[in-house]
This record gives sequence, structure tokens and C-alpha cells, in this order.
Amino acid sequence: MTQAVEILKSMKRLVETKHDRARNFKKQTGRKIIGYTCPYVPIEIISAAGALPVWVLGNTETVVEAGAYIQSYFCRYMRNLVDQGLRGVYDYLDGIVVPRVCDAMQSFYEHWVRYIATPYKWFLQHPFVTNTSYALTYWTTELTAFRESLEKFTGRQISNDDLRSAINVYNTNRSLLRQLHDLQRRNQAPISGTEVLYVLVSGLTMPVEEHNKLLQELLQGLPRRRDVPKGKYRLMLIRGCLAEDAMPSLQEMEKLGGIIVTDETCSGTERFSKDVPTEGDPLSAIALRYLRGVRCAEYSPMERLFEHVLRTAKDYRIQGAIFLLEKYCDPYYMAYPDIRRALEEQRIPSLLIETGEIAMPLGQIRTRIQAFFEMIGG
Amino acid sequence: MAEEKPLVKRLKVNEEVNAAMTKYIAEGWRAKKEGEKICWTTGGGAPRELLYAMDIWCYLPEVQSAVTASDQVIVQYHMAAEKEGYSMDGVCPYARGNIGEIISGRPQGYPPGTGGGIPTPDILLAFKTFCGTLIYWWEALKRRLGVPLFVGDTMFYNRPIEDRDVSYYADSMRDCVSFLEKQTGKKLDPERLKEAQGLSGKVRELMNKILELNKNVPAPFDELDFMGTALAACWWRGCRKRPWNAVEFFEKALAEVEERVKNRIGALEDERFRLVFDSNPPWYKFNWLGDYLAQKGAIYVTSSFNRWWTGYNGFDYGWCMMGRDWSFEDIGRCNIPNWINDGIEERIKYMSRLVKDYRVDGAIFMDNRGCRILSYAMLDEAAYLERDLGIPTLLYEGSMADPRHFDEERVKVQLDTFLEMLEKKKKIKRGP
Repeated sequence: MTQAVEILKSMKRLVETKHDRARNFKKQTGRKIIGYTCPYVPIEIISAAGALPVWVLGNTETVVEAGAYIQSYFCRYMRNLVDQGLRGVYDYLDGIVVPRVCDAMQSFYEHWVRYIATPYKWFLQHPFVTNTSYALTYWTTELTAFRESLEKFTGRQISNDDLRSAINVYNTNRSLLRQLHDLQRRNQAPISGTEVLYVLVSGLTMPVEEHNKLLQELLQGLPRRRDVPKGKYRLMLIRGCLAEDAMPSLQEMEKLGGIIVTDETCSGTERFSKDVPTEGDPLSAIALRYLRGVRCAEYSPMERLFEHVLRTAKDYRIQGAIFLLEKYCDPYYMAYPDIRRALEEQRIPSLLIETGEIAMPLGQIRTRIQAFFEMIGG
Repeated sequence: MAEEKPLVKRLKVNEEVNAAMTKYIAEGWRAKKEGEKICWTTGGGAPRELLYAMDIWCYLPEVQSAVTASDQVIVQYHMAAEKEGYSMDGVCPYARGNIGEIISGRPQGYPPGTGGGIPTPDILLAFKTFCGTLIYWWEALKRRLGVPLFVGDTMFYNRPIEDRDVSYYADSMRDCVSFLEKQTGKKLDPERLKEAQGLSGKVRELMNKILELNKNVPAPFDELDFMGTALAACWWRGCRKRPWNAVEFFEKALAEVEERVKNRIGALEDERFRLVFDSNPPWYKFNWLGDYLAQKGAIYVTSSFNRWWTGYNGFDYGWCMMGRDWSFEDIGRCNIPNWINDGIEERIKYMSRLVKDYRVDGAIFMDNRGCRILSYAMLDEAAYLERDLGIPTLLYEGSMADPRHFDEERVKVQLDTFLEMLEKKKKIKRGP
């Protein structure tokens, strides 16, 4: 077995054991663990405060307890996060940080604070408008307040050098993920979408330095990988957050002959497309990156999202786009008809698959994917 | 045969509001033909005072969708939007109704009941004081109509307002003024803005006075019926032009309600159950709901919804600003706080206070799957009212503007059972 395959397997194991690892990490290091939910939380600041940032991620488990607090017509992803919180899955968290994105995330934060009550909480007032100078000023002052609040909570002063070190190590992570993403441009993409999911998710739940090491080894090993994925239909995946809950659908796509070579998801390319500038005041650099470097369907203006989808679709020579949308996801459903039309204008067909509690059964998903591939292969 | 007496004594002023609305839409179309600018803006929290101060015609697609829902024509628009991919579950029914109207090619002209539409926009203005959907919706309108859009921003009001939040709002306003000046070629006269804000403040004051009067037993008006009056505040607060000066509607409404209070006239002949509601009503069943409750002697005496903007005792949304200079900072301090922009704890406190002060017997909420921002704290509120205040609570399923999410027979059964339970509770309280 090649080194790359070994690393990919170890990443899968890391994902499967993420909660136990986090608990052990805390026990062994005595460091705090702060949960967060979106790529608009500047994890460099959390890291510079000496805490481990851990992305609170959706899984495939049925929502049980959260149903008492959040109606079924809210996105399953968010209900599932609250449910995990209520069931104590994230009992090792010392804090939670949520940015202002969609209404569902706002609701998540409010419910988490009310019913799960992690010791530290912070709602980051991320501007909804990302292209104005006053939004940048506001965001910078908001991050200054966040920094001070974390200092108070952790009892540790966050120096500019701490921030610079964190910026460097996360920039390295982003750069390595970009290199991996670049490899997917090849005619024979060396890594499947399901494997990419484990690569991405493992990095969200472990110290970034360790993840960087694994990524470096993976990048070294991948050129020698013999059992490259066999998928023949090159796909782009469009979704809000890409986490384990998407795995069953991804597996179906790839089992049936597809290969996801790129994505527009917040835990995917959105997370690693842009680095934090390394010059100047580090907090201002972070503010700039986390304001201007984002392109989520929540924020205005939205042209950047459209441009990214179309450019990436071209660069990665995709044959089809899969909108794997969470039922009740307001921002993506509002943008979906126009993104689909923009892709159609580039002669790129797309398929909408709805995920959620009362969504499409897997059998139906399979049939639709098969039909879609037949059309692409036409 | 004698004419049947209406079950709810409705406010007369509402007919005037409706007539003014018909005229405003017709006049808007005329003005557009003459080259005047039409702006579509977001219902909640967008500074329409600024638009009126600049003599820009201001239209609210959210309200238009509520109107097409109550006119029973919205489903055809929903279906047109859904055909293009706007999901029935994932996209707000107001947005689907509005976008569907555009896709369908809306019939021009009014009056209500014809499904006629508002004038097409030259300018789009959205402010993030409510939900995210409004922003995504206005972005979609920009893409579809090719019309310039300005998006103003505010914080989520789940913590006290800091100076940075006020400065941010004020900067948004300044930028908005530049945008509007560029689009219209007109300069904002700061005195006109002060005048508009003053009129807007007066509307709040009058509205609050009227809402206070429903603490009387019997309640002089039905809160659902009052939504017809509140439409004038939503649409024309800050407008000085007659017949759309909202102050005049509320002065009339206040006089009408005061007269009723003086003569101990209730909106119902026999008021038996005083209720509170949260979220929107089902607009397509608006009259039906009020009448159905009235048949059983039940009436909505208060709501969070009619007070999302006026504030209430301890929730001084904008009241602190009365008599101030109305700088952009002042306007920010006034517009950021509102019930819809509140977190769970504040919403619960607000509802609790209303329930106590209005001597409410029960709470009937529509579990509104059409609006997540209005509904996200509803289960928490209901649980608190039941558990901590002992107020029986009913949640029936529906959507504010999509009748396909409303099952009338089922709702009837739920309402009947709930009101029977309230009756039994009253009997127990009265004793044998």
C-alpha cells in the first residue's frame, strides 16, 4: 500500500475519533478548546490565545433532542449541531464562537448559549456587506473586541507575534490544501471527493501543525499513488458546509462513476482559497482576509461567488455541477436558480440533490445521479 | 333579511388605508412614466424616512406578497418561481411570490383583489435589520432586473449596542445617501430628513398609545384587524405627502379607539378569551382567523408582531431618540433595536411582559414555516409561557404567505380544542 493511501486512511481514522482525540488533547496539554461553526471565524486569533479551534461539524445522526427547541423546517445541519450539543457530544468545548451568517446559524448560537452553555461564548458580528471601507473598520473593531475577550477568558495576552505565528501556520495549511486542490486539475485526479472530505474535516478538528505535516506527506506520496480513483465524470460540488453528513451522497456519486474534483463549500475551497496577508498589523490583515476573502451566498455583493464557481468550473474542466443543498437552506436556495442558469450558459449541466431529515431517500438520489451521468456521458 | 352583524368590530380607518394604498400604487405607476424614481425596499428597518425625504417612491415587495396572499392569487406566483428553481421549502414565500410575479409579468394597476402589482423599481434598497433572506432576495432582484442595489448593514441585536455598531450603521446611512443622490440626481436636504424622522417618531408614539388601549377589558380592537392600520406605519412612516401621511391615519385610529374605550365598546360583543400572538398571521386566512376566533369569543389583544417596531415598556425601540437631532447615529440607535432583530432571551422577556400586562388567557401562535427569523425562538417562548407563567399555548402549523402549508380543517380542530381547554380552566378558576 502506498504512503498516500496510508495517510488518507489515517485521516479517516482521525475524523472518526475526533471527539476522543480532543478530550485527550485537553487532558494532556491543559489547553482550552474553542468550537466554531463557519470559515468566517478567524481561527488565528483563537490559536494565538493558546486555545485549539475546533469546527463543530454536522454528522449523519438523527436529530432527537433538538426537536424540542428548533422546528423541523430549519436546516437539518443546524438542528443536528444543536442536537449534538444537547447530547454532550461536544462536552469538551470551553467555548463557542459563531459569526453572523445565515438566520439558521444565528438561531444555532442563540440555542447553544441558552441550552448548552459552554463557559465562553462570542457572537462575531461579521458584516453582511463585504466591500466597503466602513465594513472593514467595523469588522476590525469587532475583532479587536473578540481578541480582548479571548485574552480575558484564557488569561493570556495575545501579542502581535502570537498572531503572526498563527497566521503563518494557517497560511501554510491553506497553501497545502490549495496544492492538493491543484492536483485535482489533472485528467486523472489523484484523490476522490470522499477522500478529500476526510482530508478537510480532519484538519478542522486537530492542531494545525500536525495537519500540515500529514498534508506534506500526502502531497509527497500522491504522485506515486497507483490506485487512483476511477471516476470519469468530473464534478463540482456546491453546498453550504461540507462535513460527514454529506458523505452518503458523495459516496453514491463516486460509486456511480463520478469524481468530485472541486467544490464551492464553506469547509472546502472557501476556507483555503485566500491567505492572510503577512505584512503590516496582523489583526488588520486578519480582518481584511476574513472580510474581503469570503464569497459565501450569505454576504453582499454576491458576484464573487458566481465568478468563483464559473472560473473554477472552467479551470477544473468539470462536466457537471452537483448542488447538494440542505433542505431549508435559505441563502443557497435563493442563489441556486441563478447559479444554475450561469452554469447552463457555459454549457455545464447541474443536478440538484436535497439533503435533510425529510429529503430525498438514498435510492432516489442514486437514480437521479445515474440519469445525470447518462446525460453527461450522452 | 337583516344584514348579518360582523363578528369583529373593525376599525373604520382601515378602509382609508386601503384606499390610500390603491392610490399610492396607481400614482407610482403614473410617476414612473413621468421619469420619477421608484425604489423597492425591505419592510423591516430600512430607512424609508430617507426615501420620503428625497421624494422617492417607496414600495415594499414583502407587503405586496402579503397582499397577493390575502387576495388569494399568490400561489400562481409561487409556482412560477418554483418552476425556475426557487424551492418551496427553502425560499421565503414572500420572496417566491414577488419573484414569481416578476416572472409571470405582473398585471399593472390595482385595486386589491385584482392581484395587480407595484411599480417596477429603478432602485433597490435593502437593510439587514431583519433576516438574511431579505439580502439574498434583493441580490436576486438585482441579478434579475439589472437595477442598482444598495445594501445597508446593522448588527444582530443580541447584545447591547456599542458605539462601533452605531458608527457602522451611520456610515451605512451616509453611503446610502450618496447612492440615492447618485441614482436620483437629487441632493438630500437634512431638514427634510429630520422632518421625516420626526413624523416617523410621531407614528411610533401614536401607535404605542393605541396598542396600550387594548389593555382595557373588553379590548377595543382586534390586533389582527389593527394590522390593517399598522400597514400605514410600515409603508408610510416619514411620508408627509397626503393622503399618505401616516400620522393622520394613526390620529384617526387613536380617536376611534379612544371613543370605544370611553363608551366601553369592545371589538367583540362578548369577549371571553384574551389572546396573544407571535409571528405573522396567515394572510390568505386573515379574516377567517379573526372571525373564527370571534365566533368563540376569543380575540387577540396583543402581539409581538405589531410591536416589533414600536417597542414596549422596557424595550424602548427608538423611543430614547424622540426629540433628538436625528443624526445618522441617532437613527442607528433607533433602527438597530427591534423585536425581529432580538435574541431568544429578549423575545421571551418581551412576550412575558405583554402576556402579564394585557391579562392574556392564552397564546395562539402560527408555527410559521415561511419565516425562520420570526419563528426561531417560538418554541422557547411557548415553553416559557406554559412552564413559567402558566399560560396555555397553542402552535398551529402554517406559513404567512403560502396557503399550501395551511390545513384549515386541522387548524379548526386545534383552535376548538384549545379554546375548550381555556373555558374549562376558567370554570375551574371561578369555582363551582
